[in-house]
Amino acid sequence: MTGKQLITNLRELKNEQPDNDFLKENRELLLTQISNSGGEKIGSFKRFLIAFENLAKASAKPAMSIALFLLVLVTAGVFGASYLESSKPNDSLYIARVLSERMKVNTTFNEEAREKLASKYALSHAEDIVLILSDENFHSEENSEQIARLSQDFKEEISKASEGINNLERNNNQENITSSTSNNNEDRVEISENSSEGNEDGQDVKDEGVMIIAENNKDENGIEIMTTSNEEEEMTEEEVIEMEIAQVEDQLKGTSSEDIIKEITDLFEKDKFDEAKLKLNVLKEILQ
Amino acid sequence: MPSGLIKKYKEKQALSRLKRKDKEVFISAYDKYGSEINRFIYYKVGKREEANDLTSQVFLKTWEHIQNKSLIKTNTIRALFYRIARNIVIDYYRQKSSETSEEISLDSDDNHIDIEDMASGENSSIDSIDRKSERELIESKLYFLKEDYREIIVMRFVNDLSPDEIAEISGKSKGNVRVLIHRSLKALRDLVSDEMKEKEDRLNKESEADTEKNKENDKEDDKGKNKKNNS
Repeated sequence: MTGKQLITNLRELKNEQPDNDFLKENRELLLTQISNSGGEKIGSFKRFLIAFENLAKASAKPAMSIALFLLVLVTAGVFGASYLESSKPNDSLYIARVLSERMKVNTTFNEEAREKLASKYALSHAEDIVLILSDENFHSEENSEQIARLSQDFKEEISKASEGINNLERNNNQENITSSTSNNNEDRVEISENSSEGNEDGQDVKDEGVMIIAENNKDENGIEIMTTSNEEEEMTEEEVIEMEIAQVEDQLKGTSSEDIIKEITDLFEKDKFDEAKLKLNVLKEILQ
Repeated sequence: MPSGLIKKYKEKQALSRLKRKDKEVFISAYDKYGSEINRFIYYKVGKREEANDLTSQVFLKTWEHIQNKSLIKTNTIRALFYRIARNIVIDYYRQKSSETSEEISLDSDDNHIDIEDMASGENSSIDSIDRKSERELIESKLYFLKEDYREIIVMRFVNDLSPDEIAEISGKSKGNVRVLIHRSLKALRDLVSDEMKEKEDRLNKESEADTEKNKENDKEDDKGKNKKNNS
């Protein structure tokens, strides 16, 4: 007989069962014994306590506690991020949101992106404060301290945003300047080439070239003048117009951000929260 | 793995509730393990009535321990019942030995139990083995095994306990249990194989004897016929 056959036959010994009558009688006997000696049906609350106790004991084991910790981390990461973003300044999780935003800003290596992100967050905080203060029910004696604190916070956030936007604009202007000076260098080369070609007039051409270079600054209105070599006279007019348009837009853009910030602050102080919120949205769009 | 963990957790939950005298858990545990414990005890003592009596004692004893908060520490309710059952059987042997004033060694190779309640209702004898099925043969040979071997075979192959559960119940290591399973199976197979070989030899002898007898009968018949013809 092989091992398999032996095991198969052994498993058939499972058919050896006690009488059903015996099992029933014994069951009744046990029930009586249990009932007489304090056996009881445990309610659902007690069952819950037992379950909690077992879970606590299980979590005391190293492997289980590590697994639970990882699970909490992952869950917190998945749900916490979205929940944190929606937390408001008067929420308990707001601090966590601020910390996480700070961490994101600090880990952004690109300077421009960092300024943008920091300004964006500052505007977002300001918007949240405006939202809370626009609620009429919030304005009560109980919340007077909180209102004062939120007002202070609002000013800080707005100044942060303003600083960030100014830095961004400064950087943009610097880029414009460097790009325009590189254009000027090219013109210088062209002018000098022209002057070298025009030998008959030689000196005059040179002088003209020097004059042109010297005059290649902003005029009274702050508009840059392109080089006016003979060959480029026709093109520069169009280019000048384009440049003028671009510069006006930049100026308008620059002044509008500052103006908007001033307007927002004024509206906030006058408790015109809805309008302040609208202006904040405009600023946000500008940032983007 | 998760289902295994959930199962473990549920077992712990049931055991905790049992310790707190939860009637519902106790009775459902009886319904679930009652016949299994009865079968375990039956293959240890070999007698149906004794097995029934001892089974009742197991559950009453368990309840008594719960009352006294003196439960043996186990991971599952199943293991708890088995451990109490083993202890009760040991007590039964001790009592029996004191009655018969003979020492019964649990590890003795000569620990043969007379079975009163076999399937055929007869004592094992060479004649009755001829009529038994393979299963009955194995069942009979089970009682020729050492106590440890028999117990482990019943737990592993009849009641389907895992090696881990057997280790917890018997207090042995998992490795030790695996070795015991292998040895006990081998021992039983050797017993059964010897028996079957004996049976085969006997049958061969009988058939040879029959053949010779037939030959003699044929010879006599031929002689008789020849005589008749001559006359």
